[in-house]
Amino acid sequence: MLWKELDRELIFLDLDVQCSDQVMDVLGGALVKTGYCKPDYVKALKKREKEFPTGIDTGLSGIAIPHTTVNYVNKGKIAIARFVHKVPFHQMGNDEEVVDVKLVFMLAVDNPKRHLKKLQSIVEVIQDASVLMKLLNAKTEEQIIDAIKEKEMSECIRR
Amino acid sequence: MHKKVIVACGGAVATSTIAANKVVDLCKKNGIDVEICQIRISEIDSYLSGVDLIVTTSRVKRDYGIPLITGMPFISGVGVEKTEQDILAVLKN
Repeated sequence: MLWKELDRELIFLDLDVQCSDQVMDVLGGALVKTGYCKPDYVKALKKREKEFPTGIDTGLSGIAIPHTTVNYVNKGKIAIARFVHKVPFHQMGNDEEVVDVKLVFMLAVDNPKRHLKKLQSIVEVIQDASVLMKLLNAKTEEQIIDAIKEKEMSECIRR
Repeated sequence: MHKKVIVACGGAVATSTIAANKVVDLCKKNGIDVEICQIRISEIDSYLSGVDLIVTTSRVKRDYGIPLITGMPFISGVGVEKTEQDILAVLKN
């Protein structure tokens, strides 16, 4: 469950940054500061994003899901940022194209199997336009957590 | 009808797993007996024998002489139907 790994302190609703490296500094830095990730996590994030970009164009909005391998992580966590100005990220699967990203899910993954589950859950969230709209328009950190929780609970019931 | 499909990504196996699951579901629905070979893009060369289709979730500039379709729509949700049609068009051939 994604929502269980969300924390108000690790949700940034109106982050004013210019480039993806700054996103890594702020969001990754917060994950390091709170002890979820090791000190070299930020550097690893930047390196991996260059090799394997994570921008995704959902049509409604650009999303990115920066992450590293498990060895930079102490404990699984997800940090979220929504930007004041869209930040360009290279697209996953097509790194010649850039997507303007409004929302980032930064994954601290401590177990490769959980990585897959997290990614699947995020795919379900971003492919649901109504949930994505809630995330883009949320006024408080709680509204972000609630929108994701609601989505995940409804998926549970359906299964 | 037995078909062999490579599903590959560059980094971790996560995105290709999502794409692979979608390809399996699609084939089931359409009565295609599919064998999925989930590997890294760097390994494609060694698995080409008997392959009908390659689906990737990462950039591939090389031509392997086999139809190649991007599986990114399965991640982004944009253009899923078209991708499914393209995959079926190759596999039903």
